[in-house]
Amino acid sequence: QVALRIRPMSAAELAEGARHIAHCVDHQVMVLQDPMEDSSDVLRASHSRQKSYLFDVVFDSTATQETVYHATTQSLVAVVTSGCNATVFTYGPTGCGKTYTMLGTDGELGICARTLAELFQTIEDSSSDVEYEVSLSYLEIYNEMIRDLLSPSLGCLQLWEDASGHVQVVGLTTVPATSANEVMQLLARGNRQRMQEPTAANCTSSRSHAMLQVTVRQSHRGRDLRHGCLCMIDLAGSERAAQTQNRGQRMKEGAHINRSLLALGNCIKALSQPASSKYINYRDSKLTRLLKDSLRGNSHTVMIAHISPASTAFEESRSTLAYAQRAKSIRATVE
Amino acid sequence: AAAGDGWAAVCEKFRTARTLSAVESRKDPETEPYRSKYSARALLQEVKQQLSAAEEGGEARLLAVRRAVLEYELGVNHTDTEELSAGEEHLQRCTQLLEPHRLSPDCVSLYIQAQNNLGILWSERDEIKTAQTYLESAEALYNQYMKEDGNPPLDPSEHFMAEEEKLTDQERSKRFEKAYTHTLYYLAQVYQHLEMIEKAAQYCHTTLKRQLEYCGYYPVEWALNAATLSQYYLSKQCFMEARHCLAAASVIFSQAGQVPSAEDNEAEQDQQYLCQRKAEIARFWIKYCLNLLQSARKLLEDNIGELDPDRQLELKAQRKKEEDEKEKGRKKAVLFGTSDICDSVLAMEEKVSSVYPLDFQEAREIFLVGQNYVQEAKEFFQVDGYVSDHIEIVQDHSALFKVLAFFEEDYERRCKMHKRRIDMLEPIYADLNPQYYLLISRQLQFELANTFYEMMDLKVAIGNRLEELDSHTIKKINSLAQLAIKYYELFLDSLRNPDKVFPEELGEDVLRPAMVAKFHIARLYGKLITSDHKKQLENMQTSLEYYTFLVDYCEKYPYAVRAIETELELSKEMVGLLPARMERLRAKMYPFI
Repeated sequence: QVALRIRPMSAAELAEGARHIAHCVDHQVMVLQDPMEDSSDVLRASHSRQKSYLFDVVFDSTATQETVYHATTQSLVAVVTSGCNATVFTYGPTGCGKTYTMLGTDGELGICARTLAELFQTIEDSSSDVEYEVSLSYLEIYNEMIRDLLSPSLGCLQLWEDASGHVQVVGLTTVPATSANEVMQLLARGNRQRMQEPTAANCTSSRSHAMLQVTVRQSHRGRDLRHGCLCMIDLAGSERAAQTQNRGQRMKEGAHINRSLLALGNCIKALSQPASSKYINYRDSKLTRLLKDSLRGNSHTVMIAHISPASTAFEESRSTLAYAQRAKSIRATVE
Repeated sequence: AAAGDGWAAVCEKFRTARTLSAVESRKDPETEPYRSKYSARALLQEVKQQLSAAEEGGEARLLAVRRAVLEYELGVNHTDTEELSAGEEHLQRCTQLLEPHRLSPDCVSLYIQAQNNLGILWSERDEIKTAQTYLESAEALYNQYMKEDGNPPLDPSEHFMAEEEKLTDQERSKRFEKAYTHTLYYLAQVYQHLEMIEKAAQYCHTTLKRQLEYCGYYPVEWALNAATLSQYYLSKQCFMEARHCLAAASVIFSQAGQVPSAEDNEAEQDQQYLCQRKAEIARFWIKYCLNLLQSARKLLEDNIGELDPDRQLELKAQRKKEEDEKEKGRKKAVLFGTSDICDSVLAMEEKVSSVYPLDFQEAREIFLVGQNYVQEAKEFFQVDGYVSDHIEIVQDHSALFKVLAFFEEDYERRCKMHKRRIDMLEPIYADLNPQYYLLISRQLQFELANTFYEMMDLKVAIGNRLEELDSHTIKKINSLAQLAIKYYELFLDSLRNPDKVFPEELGEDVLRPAMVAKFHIARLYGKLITSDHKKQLENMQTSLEYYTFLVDYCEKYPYAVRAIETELELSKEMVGLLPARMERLRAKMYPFI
């Protein structure tokens, strides 16, 4: 399932004089206008340069956290308790609301807290025969390094892959939890450990992916019944570095010159792209390999893409929408 | 103000500013990321004021240079704090002040560094071509200075140092060369963004070389970078350069050695890290050997994929001629290394050829080098824990055997090489969960099928040389054919959707392999040897069905024709011939009907 969330215009955008170019047509279709279009040009008016995008559900800036939760992740609780796996991604450029959707604020909880609350409620309401064990792990992937956010002192962790296809992080701490509050506190603690860098666009943005994994094990009178896993992933900002003006040791993408000779490797790698199968294919990123498990098999996936409605963010919005559309057309090979 | 003390205070202020900017700024909190830099800026402004207040006169030149240093520091400061316009202004002022004296030892280094920074600045504005002009200008200036003067120039920081603190010539040279290395490094990035890949590679190569000579480097990182660069050269079929990169990588890597560490845990992790990197370099070597062999094959093969002896003679003659020219080319090439590692690098290079192997002996030598690296790589990338990597290495090993078989004349020995491939691929395939490793699973199925197919063909060819096929050979041929069929069928099954239905229309990436699989199965059924007529008829029927599938599919989807032209032609022929043959056989079996 692919959803799209358009956030409200920010003060900074209004100050810049940006126009509103992302409009919801109905609850599944939205339209993105090309801000270069001159509305007074009669000849052009008939082929208006706006493209429409179809999603499973579209939320505009008035949508509340509650609404978003109900439409996207609420159903996943039942999935997980029935022994299947589920994954939620938030995707989009820095500052468009990914973390807001995922974690929210104290006053307006995000889907993470709500899903967990519902999960624990379901557990409480269930029959006393069945015992539930909930455990969680929280990790961050930054610059291809995996860090355990619950035990950051462990340093960089390695991936382990076996022939059956199971990929795990060696030495990752899993912590048992008994209430949603407990989980949120652990999350808050973990978040403080995240690699944050100041960027011009958004002070709390991050260039790392954060992945929360909640495993629910059910046992009936000591016998293991089933287990399901819910992964909630806040992807790193998808924007080009041009707008965020990262500097210094932070690796820059795009046509920027990196000061540090430590980045020479990146430059050299780029020389052989596109790598054909004749040469070393740089292995899938750590994120892809970790997700292999949750994207295959009987898994439900929800992606919530985020964009800004401002005309100044047109290019970013367009590429986010294109990516989300492609994601929609991929059918997971479920067998 | 007393010149001596006043000046010392100014220098102190300047140094404090630099320390704030370089060292303290790393500790700045997230909420105030540029705090130290702003403090540094304030100090720099103060120094600038004090300089302006100073008298003009005999020391105008010195004053100008000192001012230029300030402008430079302020320029970099503003750029670091994302104030590009202000940064540009200061940097431009710096170069203006230095312009008339830019080739002299007290100015040249600063001028080049200012231009480096202007290059970076313009790249931030996405104006990469403008960045290019500044950097190329810096490059030209360096070359001009080295040609016309060449003495180690003053480091900009010396303009705010007391006499006794001034640097040695050696230190000056080191810093100057480092600045120029950065110029080249930035240019490498610029060329890469401008898609001038060849130039980018050249500059990357030079940067690597200079890191060894002037800059200081981390051996493991340097080695990996050099090994990665070899991939670029492989893509351009520049085997000599690729080999040089790999040889240097191996030599420098061995400098890393054991990392002494207090805690046992850390030491273990470091050892792990080193082992992994070593294995990664081994994998680059494997690709080198494989590429060299495969490129040679392309040159030597005729239109049915066999070694063409005429081509072989031709190329051998050509090689003799080129040997002299190659030596000259060698000397011009950009070689790594200070004198001490030069010999080690040469020694490494001598272990493997960089020219196309033209016969079995030469091919075998390269094959053996590749095989050694396979073992080295597998030491770290074991199945348990590194499945994908392990499989890729084994696939490369199989590919090495396959290409070596091309050079082998004797069919029996060729068969043995293919058997080695089966022996290494089958166990991995058996252990693999196809649900999770769909792509690799398919690759292995297809490769196993093809290998059995080739082996069968070889056995048939060997059998044809004998007077009569003995029962042992017949059994062998049939068994190989059945195995090939088995794996082709497994591959085709993998294309079915969850409801086990074969797709109506095949995706672009699987079209050709699927068609080839069908074609080979058809042919294999035609090759099965049996004395039982009924069985023979069944085989022909199956064969016909598969040939028909191909023909029908291409009729339904005409775009597919291009993917399997040759196979399609043959299939059409068979579709025409087989029914008649089957009729004749039926007539023989049931003569009275």
